[in-house]
Amino acid sequence: MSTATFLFVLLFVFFIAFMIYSAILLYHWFRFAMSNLVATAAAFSYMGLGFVLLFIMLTMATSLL
Amino acid sequence: MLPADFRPDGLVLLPGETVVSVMRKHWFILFIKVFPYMLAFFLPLVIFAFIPTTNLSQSLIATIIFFIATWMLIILMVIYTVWTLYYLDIWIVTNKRIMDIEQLALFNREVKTLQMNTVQDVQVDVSGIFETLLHFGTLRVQTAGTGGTDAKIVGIPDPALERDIIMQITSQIHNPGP
Repeated sequence: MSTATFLFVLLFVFFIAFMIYSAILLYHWFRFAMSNLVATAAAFSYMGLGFVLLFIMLTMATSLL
Repeated sequence: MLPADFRPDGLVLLPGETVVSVMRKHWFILFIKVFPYMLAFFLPLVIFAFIPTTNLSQSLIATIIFFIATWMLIILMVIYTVWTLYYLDIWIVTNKRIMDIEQLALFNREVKTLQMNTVQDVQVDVSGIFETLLHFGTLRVQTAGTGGTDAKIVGIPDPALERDIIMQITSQIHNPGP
């Protein structure tokens, strides 16, 4: 397996893990004891930063092709 | 006054019950927990900035950046989990009861309720330089009867004020005015 393939597999695994974990956190933020404003701000910052990092990972993996 | 969309788990107000105070732990408690992860978040960037990359191949640099981003993604998830556990830890005082909602883990939640008319003793502990200077501490509420229903909240801001609020309510319950 080439390095690029390995990184794409890793990226896929982390993308799935991030999405599942996001669902769990968003559930907690919107379900329990929070105002919608705080929950929305947390969701935007968390998902925003997460997708930026995933995009960097995608770019780096793609550059190895 | 609580925001309209505030909905802590287990809080259904009884007839004639009003919320007196809603408190979370002091921001310093969150800071102490998050700070190591913040360092860990930026550490690979700092290390990478000092590594001479002139001798490294482009593919190796891309791989290193990939793993730095992976590391930062993991730490990001941890930081938001720590913040979530902090934010969902709430202490609610109403004119009839005290609710200590403790988020131990993402799927481990403990809601403790103490009736105001059973409160016997409220103890405040402020120990250490940070607690003294930043005005936070530990509040312990002991109730009458057995069963271990006493509540304790660590790192509550201005614990003496919270103690006074509870003592004022219990005093009104035990000695109702004319």
